[in-house]
Order: sequence, then C-alpha cells, then structure tokens
Amino acid sequence: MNATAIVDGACWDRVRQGEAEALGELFQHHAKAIYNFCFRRTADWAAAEDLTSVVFLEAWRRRDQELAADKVLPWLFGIANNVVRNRRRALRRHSAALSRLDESVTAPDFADDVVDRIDEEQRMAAVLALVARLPRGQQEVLALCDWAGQSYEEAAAALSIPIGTVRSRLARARTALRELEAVAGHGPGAERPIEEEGPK
Amino acid sequence: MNRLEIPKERVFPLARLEARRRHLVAEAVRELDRAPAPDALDKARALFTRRGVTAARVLALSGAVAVAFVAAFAAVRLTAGGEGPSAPAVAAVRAPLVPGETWHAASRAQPVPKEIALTRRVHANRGGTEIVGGTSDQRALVEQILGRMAGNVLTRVELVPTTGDSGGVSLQTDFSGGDQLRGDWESNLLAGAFRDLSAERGLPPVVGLGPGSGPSGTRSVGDAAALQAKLRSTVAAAGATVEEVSIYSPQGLAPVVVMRAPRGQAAAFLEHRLPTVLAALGNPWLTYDGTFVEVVDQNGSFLWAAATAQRVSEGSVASRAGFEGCSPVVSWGPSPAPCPAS
Repeated sequence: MNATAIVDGACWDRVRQGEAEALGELFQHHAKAIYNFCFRRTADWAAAEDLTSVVFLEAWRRRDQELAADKVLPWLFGIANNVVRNRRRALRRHSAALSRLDESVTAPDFADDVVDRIDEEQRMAAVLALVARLPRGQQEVLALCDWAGQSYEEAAAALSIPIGTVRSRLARARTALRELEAVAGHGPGAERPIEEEGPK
Repeated sequence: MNRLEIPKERVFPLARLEARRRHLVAEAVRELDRAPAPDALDKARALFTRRGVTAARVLALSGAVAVAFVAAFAAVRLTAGGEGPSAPAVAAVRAPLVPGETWHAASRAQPVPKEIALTRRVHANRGGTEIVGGTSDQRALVEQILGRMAGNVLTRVELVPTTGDSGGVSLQTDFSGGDQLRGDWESNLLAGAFRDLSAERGLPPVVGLGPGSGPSGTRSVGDAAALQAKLRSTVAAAGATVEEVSIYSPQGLAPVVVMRAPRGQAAAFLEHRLPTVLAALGNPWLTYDGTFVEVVDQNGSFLWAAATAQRVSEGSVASRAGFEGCSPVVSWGPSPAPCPAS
C-alpha cells in the first residue's frame, strides 16, 4: 500500500469519527483529481469546482461507510461519478450549502488563463459529444480508467462492478470510440488518441 | 484532421482551494449540529416529557436566580436531578476557580455546603432572550452578543443603572432550566463581552464585574469550526459520548463541551480520560473568552463541570459528592475522599 493510501485511511477514520477538519484534509489531498474528473465529464471548469465540493459534502454525508485505506480515492471517484451523472439533483441537494460559499469563491474568475480555459472547455465538449454516443457504462469506465488514471481494480471499486466487467467495457469503449472518431472525421494518425493511458 | 484530444489536468484554482476547504469544514460542522447523535435525541425527548417537573422547579428557583453572579463566587453544595427515575438526584460540591497557568489553578479552601435545587440543562429560551432597561444601543449590543451564543440558556437580561454618579449599568440575568452552573457561566460570558464592547463603542461603563481582559488566542470562524471538530473527536477518542459541542463567540471564542461518561466507568473517566479533553482545550484562561466543560452519567445526571470566564476572571468547578477525588481540577480542600476508581 502506498503512502497516499495510508494517509487517506487515517484521514477517513477521523472523518468517520465526525472530525470535520479531516474532511478538509481529504479535500486538499484529492481536490485536483476529483476536479479534473468532474471537468472531463462536464466540460465546464466552473461547474467542476462546485461539483468537487458536492462530492466531498456527499462523502461527509456517507461517512458511516467503512473503507479500506486504498479504497478511499476510488470511493470518492464513485461518488463523483454519481454526482456528475445526477448533476442537477446533486446540486439541488446541496444548494443551501453552496449558497453559503464566500463571495470570493463564487465571484467570476478573471484569471489570466481564462482564454485557455474556454478553449479547453470547447475541446472537452467536442470529446463529450462523441463519447455521449457510447453506452453509459462504457463512458464511465472510459472516464475513470483512461481519463482519471484509475486501475481496473480501482474503477471496479468506484463503480461497484466486477473487474472483468470493467475490462470488457473499456475494450468495447475504446473500439467504439475509434470508429466514432473516424466517422466524425477526426481520422486516425494523430499523436494522441482520447484514451491516453491504459489502466495500471 | 487531428484526433480528439482531452485537455491536460489543471490544479484546483489555488485562490479558491482554501476557501472551499474552509467551507467544507464549516458545512460538515453545521451538519453535525443539525443531526445530533441518536442518544442525544433520546435524551432530548426524555427531557421534553419531564418538562412539567422542570417548569415547576424553575418557578421555585425564581427568587434565587437574581443572585446568580454572587453565587458564582460562593462555594455551594448542589442537589441535582429529581427529574424522574432516569436522572436520580445527586449531591454535588462547588468551588471557585481562579485564573492561573492551567486548569489546576483552583481554590483549596474547603467548600461551604449549601443545598439548592439544580435541574438538568434545558434550553428553554428558544423564543429569544428578553432584554430590558438601558439604552437602545446597549440593548442592541446585548442582542448582538447573545446572537453569537446560539443555544444559550439566558431568558432575561436587565440593564440596571447604578445608583452612583458613574452613569454606569450592571447586568442582572435569569436563565432557564435551573442550571446554575451553565447559567452563571453564560451570564459572566455575556457580562465580560458587554463591558469590553461597551468601552470600545463609547457606551456607559459596566460595573460590578471582576477585572480581566480578552484572550490572546485567535477567534475567527475558521478557528471555531476547527476547534469544534477537534473537541468532538477528542471527546470521542476519550470514550465519551458527545452531548453538545458548541462554540460561542461573544467576542472571542468560548467552547461548550458536554459529554456523557461511558457506562459504569464514571469515576475512571473523570480521573483518567477527562484530562485529555481538558488538554485539548489548552489553557482556558489565555485562549478563550470562556470555557464550559460538563460530564454527565449515562442517566444524564450531573457528574462534574468546570467553567471559566476570562474577561471577568471568574470560574467554578463542581463535582458530584463522592467523586471529588476524581476531579482532574484540584479544588476540594486538603483531603477529598479518594476516587472510587483508584
């Protein structure tokens, strides 16, 4: 077990005891991973921020969950997957909490890289438009394994499905996506396909 | 044409990462407060059903509460309970705590026994606190301070003009539930903040309070949330059940910790585990406007409590009779009875 997982396990134990500060620590450890996962499922950086908060609020709500140390992050991805899938409902459930965010958080972001962000959102939206044509189960394993770098085992834990199912769905998703790309005119031969890395 | 490429990962916007973290912690604490532990709910229901008995006791005490501030200094003998079979009456002894380096700075004078009625804590002022007397600015200030003491037991605050030439006022308070310990402490907390904030705002002086000053510790909302979380986890780690962890902020922070000792281990808990909770608070006289720590047994009957009010240099400690020797805060004269757990 790696050091990150050990820290996660200790942190989660404290969360389970009702220590709110431990939730903050967990957020600091994994905000980036969940934030990018949420972006890649929504193509919206601002929404990804709110959804990241919602994921951790949901984790707190479900803090009676027993988790092995190395399953904390996959479990958070599982929550994120559900939050993104039921985005409106999740945001509605936590709307009161989100309304209490500081103005500094909710104010428009005029960062220097705002143009880059818009460009990234447009590119991601194009990817999602294509991926949306895959069955939902395939979309989910693709996002977890190829985009979030989760292993077969971790994706299986996140989605509560057998590892074999993850493997087969991922294979079908990759094949289908290559065909969709070709049909859509994003022909083969480019440097990097959507599925950048295989699961470990 | 290029194949589709997903954008590279970004770090979470650093400018907002900390604000989001703080928000999450605050929301988690809020959720904890909104959803008390099932055993706490059971207790609340039990108190509600016994309210008739409690109300009668409050009426019987109405003559005594006017001297609450004076009583805070006096070592008194308390008789607690009488609320029904699950909260049997217990005799208790109370003595003053004085500011010092640690929790252990307490009077070694022999407490003078005195019987008074004491019911369990009941927050009966949910309709708000009646504030009378004084000017509109003074009343507004009292209201503002009480607004930062959500869940307090104070039912009435009267601003009484002094008879001398100072043009000052003193405070008289009534509180609910007959809980002398909690009521006295909250009265002191309010009085200290009211005096110091009145001075800041150029309002008439507040008289009749012990000398003191504000704490040196920090007092932001973020600190409150973190402190609340820390205290909850410390109580749980000590093996007790959290009955209440609130952080008042009359001016600085003032934590309230009420916990239920493990079944059958009351004496051992007081002697061996309560010190870890006190240690988590640190020095009560330097860090906070005040502290209130109470331990009850499985029936909800009083076991032990300590309170400090830094701004007016007042404090008290009380223990159920027979458990004085278990108290981690020394106050019971030269030779208290040995702790049953020893």
